[in-house]
Amino acid sequence: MAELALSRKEQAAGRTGWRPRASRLVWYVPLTLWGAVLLVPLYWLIASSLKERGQVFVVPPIWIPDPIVWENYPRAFSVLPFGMFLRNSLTIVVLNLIGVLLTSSMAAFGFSRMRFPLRNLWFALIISTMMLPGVVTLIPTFIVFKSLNWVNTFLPLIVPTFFGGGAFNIFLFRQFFLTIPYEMDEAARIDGASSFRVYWQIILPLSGPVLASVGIFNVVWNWNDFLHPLIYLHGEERLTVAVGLRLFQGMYWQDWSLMMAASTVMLLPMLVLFFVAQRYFVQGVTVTGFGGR
Amino acid sequence: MQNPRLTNRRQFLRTAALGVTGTAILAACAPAAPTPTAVPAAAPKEAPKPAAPPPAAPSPAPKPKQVELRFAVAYDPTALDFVKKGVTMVEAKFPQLKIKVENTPWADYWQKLTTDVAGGNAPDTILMVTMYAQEWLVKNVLLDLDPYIRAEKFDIEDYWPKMMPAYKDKQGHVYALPYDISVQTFYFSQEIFQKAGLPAPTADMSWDQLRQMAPQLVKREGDRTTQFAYDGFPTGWPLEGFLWQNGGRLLSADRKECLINSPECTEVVQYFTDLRVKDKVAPTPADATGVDLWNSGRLATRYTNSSVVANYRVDTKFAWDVLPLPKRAKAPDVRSCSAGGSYCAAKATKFPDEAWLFVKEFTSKEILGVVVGDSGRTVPGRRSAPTTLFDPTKPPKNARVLIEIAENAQVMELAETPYYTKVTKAYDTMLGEIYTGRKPAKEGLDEVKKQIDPILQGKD
Amino acid sequence: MSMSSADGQARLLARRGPSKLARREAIEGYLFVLPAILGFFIWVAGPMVASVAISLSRWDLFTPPVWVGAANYAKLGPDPLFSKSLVNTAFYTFVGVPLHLIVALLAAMLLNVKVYGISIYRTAFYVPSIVPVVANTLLWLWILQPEFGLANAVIDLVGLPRQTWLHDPVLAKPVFIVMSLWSLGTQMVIFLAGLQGIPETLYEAAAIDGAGRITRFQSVTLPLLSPVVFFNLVIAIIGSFQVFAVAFIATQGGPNDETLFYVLYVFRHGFEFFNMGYAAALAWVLFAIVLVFTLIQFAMSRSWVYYESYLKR
Repeated sequence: MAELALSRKEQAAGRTGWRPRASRLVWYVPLTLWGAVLLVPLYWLIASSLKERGQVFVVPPIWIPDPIVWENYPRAFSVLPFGMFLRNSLTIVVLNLIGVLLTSSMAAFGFSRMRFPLRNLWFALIISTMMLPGVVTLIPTFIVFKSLNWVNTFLPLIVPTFFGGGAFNIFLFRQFFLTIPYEMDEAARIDGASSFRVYWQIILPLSGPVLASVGIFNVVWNWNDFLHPLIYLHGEERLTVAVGLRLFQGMYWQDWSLMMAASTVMLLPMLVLFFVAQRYFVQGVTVTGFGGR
Repeated sequence: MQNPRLTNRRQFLRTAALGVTGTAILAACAPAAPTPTAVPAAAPKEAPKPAAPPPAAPSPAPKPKQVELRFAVAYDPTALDFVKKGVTMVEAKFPQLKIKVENTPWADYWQKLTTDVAGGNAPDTILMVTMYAQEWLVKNVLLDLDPYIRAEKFDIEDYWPKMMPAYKDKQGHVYALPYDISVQTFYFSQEIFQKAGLPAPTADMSWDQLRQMAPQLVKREGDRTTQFAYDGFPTGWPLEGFLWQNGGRLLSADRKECLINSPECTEVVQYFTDLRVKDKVAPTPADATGVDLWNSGRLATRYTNSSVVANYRVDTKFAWDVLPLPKRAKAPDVRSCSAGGSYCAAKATKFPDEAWLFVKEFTSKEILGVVVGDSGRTVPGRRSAPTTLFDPTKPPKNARVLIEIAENAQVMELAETPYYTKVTKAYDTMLGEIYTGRKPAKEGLDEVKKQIDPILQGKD
Repeated sequence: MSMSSADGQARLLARRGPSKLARREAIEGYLFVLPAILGFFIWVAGPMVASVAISLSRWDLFTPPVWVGAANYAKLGPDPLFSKSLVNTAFYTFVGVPLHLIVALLAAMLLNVKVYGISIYRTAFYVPSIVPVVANTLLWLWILQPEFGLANAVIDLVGLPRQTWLHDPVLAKPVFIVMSLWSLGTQMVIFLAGLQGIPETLYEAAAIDGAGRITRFQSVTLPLLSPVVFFNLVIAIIGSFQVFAVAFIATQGGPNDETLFYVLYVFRHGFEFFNMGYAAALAWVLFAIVLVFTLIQFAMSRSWVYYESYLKR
């Protein structure tokens, strides 16, 4: 089981090892109870996806599928083009990732390490968009994309990211860049490095943690995004997993084991990402205050 | 490394709040343009030339230039296979046509069509239904087929005549050709009737008789009902048929007023509410959510669309049959209203002649026999088209009643106005409230009328 | 402001060279931030201005827009669904958000105790939060399925009467709030980080002064955590006002429009009825409401958010 360690301080504490006192053992009761309650739905998701039809509609419910059947998974891929949904989601996720990592770090570099007139004003304006409920721009941006004839393409879900990649990401990158000593730039500039080289060869290579955090949250966000694909993507061949899954709901709403299998398929990449990159997940959450939704 | 995070956050929030206020003021003070910035949808194309109907010869001597037509449809995988088969047949017969089928799931179809058409990206040929045809007609999206019909002296009498008002404008011009007709059909499980020791229902049964025998068709286990006598609560397009059965109407003669709160209509709504709320023989929405009561053998009778016959032939594992809807004394001959699908051409198409050719051919007797007839979904749009509905080796034995119902079923009046979406949205929620007993029928229907009248008068 | 960044600012100032260099730096600086500035105008400022114009017109995307002045705003008052969706959203926000914060704080405090294997518990508490919202909603629909769902099975065990959950106009909104409590991981982790930023010495000092558990919570934990609480509150309220996907998937606004949340209603007018003008007007009203609440929170925060950080010397 992976670790969810939050700070170096605590990791250090863990290493030196404090001894649990008997009075602390009482904490296991609420921890275990509450944890179990939280994990039951997740167990139910997976258990239901492994049930054969006859075991789904039973009162009281069957807790352990018997036999365990896998057929719901291949079925999810055959009744609807779920493979295509996955590919579409992946395309959108990857292109957004490139856009956000590139342009928000660039903007952050400009705002943290370059001097130019009105810098603080621009920064404040851009940061302010974080407080903006997205609904306000939903209608007019839809009309813009419609008049560009971009509805029913991936472009509305990708192109905006290449314009700064979101205020919060800029903010995050900037906060991180401010912690990198300026001597590094100075030395490079004295050696004749251009601003772009400083950005590309000095700052970015030092920015692993923030690149990872921003990247992961962007991936999670785009994977989960429902409203925008719902508005911009129509026709089976263009749907993402999120909106494709809703199609299952419309067509197979009485076939719960199939829907639970499809939901599990949607969850799986996020679960893997979480366990592989847990440190950056937690870092991202603590620094950004935004989770995957 | 902890504290900068907190101060950063606070700094962030402050900047953000200041900025957002600024932006708002900026936007609010911005000179409002006299007209919105974006451009309207593409200007409508010129009217089609009624002349030059394409040759019907199977092998034209000079090979005409091939034209690709986009064909927007919304079918489930099974139905789509039959449609593709039909497309291949048409393409073989008319080499100048190349059809690109663009399938969208039904739930998404109308939104996609809207954005496509509004974005100047309209498909050449379009699946249409009775309910929405007038809405698209008034938006000026559909191609007037009348010039072609007149020039070719094309006979439209074979299409179910009672469907056609939904596809005509005020001048009587035709904009779509039907491919099927659906009616509300009464399905019953012979097995459950047998087990309950009751005689199977007949076409003479009345709604009152159904209500009398219903309690004998219910089974309960503790506070759970494991078998229901009846399901089906009229709303959406079927509603009007049920009102007509009791001598009621949804719309006044001039279609400017909603009569849903009349005593005749209220009585119908009350009847179905009583089945559920008073007699408890019908499932609540909660009982019926996420379970297939019919196919799991837990439902004795129901009404639903005639189109599900094809599905029940595959999925239903017990003996079942169909009947016309039960009768009501006030209008014993009225059994159902009708609705259906059709194909039409977009006004914006670059190839109106070819689009007409395709719509015409795709609703021909031969093609409908394959696309609708072989699929066994419901009654084909042409009376002469063959269908597998009556296949004696497959249920339902009474399938022929579907034709009888179709023969008499008027299309609902609401489909002759361009307000279907708004009106049904206005009554759906309230009917849901009434049918679950949360709102008295009369009171609820009075409220609905108040909401619908302005819609019908074009004020909303 | 951290040491290194203050240091950097100083250096930046010290680096002020000949004006030619400064001009070059200004140009380069603008090039770096250009995509973001363009983005601000193309995706935010521009659309917002356009949205004002759209909200003052009637437009179905098919026929040219018609200027109607404030008519769309005048329609809001008599529109029963506008007020209903507003009330629904307010309920979801003002009951849901505080509850969410309290439960997340409780969870964080629980997960902050030093017992063996605590990181496993932290993972368990966090994992539900990574379930994508569509999958999450479908799962809950299945759990809440009235006849075969888990929820009523539990109800049976306890011996209470079965419920219809999302089909019940009274229960539907509270059920949505409970569903949202399942995914409290994000806020929980933020609180946990905040709690761990409080030095042990402060608790020890308080304990020496004879403070009990509750006093320590009131006089040490809460004040030091208040900036984090405030941050969570502001972000959660903005997010909560925009709840959409769960209701769109689970109930489509029913029963009896009890879960017709505001954005769902905007979506209906914008992308089902294609009443672009009315939808834009609705969106502006939401913006104004969110703005007012955010500003109120900032004003109120002065009285309860404790910023004079012990480490800020």
